[in-house]
Amino acid sequence: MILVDLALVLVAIGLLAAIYRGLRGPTAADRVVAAELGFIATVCALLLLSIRLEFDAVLDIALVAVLIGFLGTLGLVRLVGPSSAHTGESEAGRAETDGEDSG
Amino acid sequence: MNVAELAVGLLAVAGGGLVALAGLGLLRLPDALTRASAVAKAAALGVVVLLVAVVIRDPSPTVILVVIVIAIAHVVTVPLSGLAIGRAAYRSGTTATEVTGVDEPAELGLVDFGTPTATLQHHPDQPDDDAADDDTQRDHQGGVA
Repeated sequence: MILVDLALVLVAIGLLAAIYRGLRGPTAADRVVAAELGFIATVCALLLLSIRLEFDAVLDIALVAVLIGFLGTLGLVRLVGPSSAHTGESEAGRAETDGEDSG
Repeated sequence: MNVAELAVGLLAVAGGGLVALAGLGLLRLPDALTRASAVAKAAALGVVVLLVAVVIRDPSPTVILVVIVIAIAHVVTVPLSGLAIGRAAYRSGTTATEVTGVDEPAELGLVDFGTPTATLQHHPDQPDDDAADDDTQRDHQGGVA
């Protein structure tokens, strides 16, 4: 069990790195990468807690966290930088993000 | 029993170490593209290693079923989100190509999703759309500052 505690400390170190990069990151893409590592560190912490507490229902929370992390990353990626400005295929998406920026 | 517990502990340390390694890459690598690459690879393998540890700890059918579903969902979605992040980072024009070294879409003339900013190659034959130029300049200033 001491090894599982050590693994939890390592996951906390990774999460601290993600928090630093999310606060400091020079571009918006760096912040999205930090958010993704935050999601993944949360999933790892849930899996380690299911081992540590011997409680299998935490695995269901981990499954939901994996799926929500993917959707959250895709949602954050849409906020990065200028969206496809020179393609005709996503003019609606561009207008939508411009409205969000001005509002 | 003792051997199984030791294997669970070692796999847990390996998975946590991979997450810490992704955090190290996030701190030390110079670019958003390389950071996204480090996080996608290391963290995807870390979660799978931890899932193996969970199965070794309790090999019951319900746990194995849930673990297989988590593994498939994670292994399928993490490269997709890494690809989306890399694409958005390149499209936003804030990736330093002199650090990354290669800018294949600009060299091959495949930049059809709009990267007219200062850090990337600016095509001279591309007409300057005034609204799009305002967008990219404003976003580029925000990204650098």
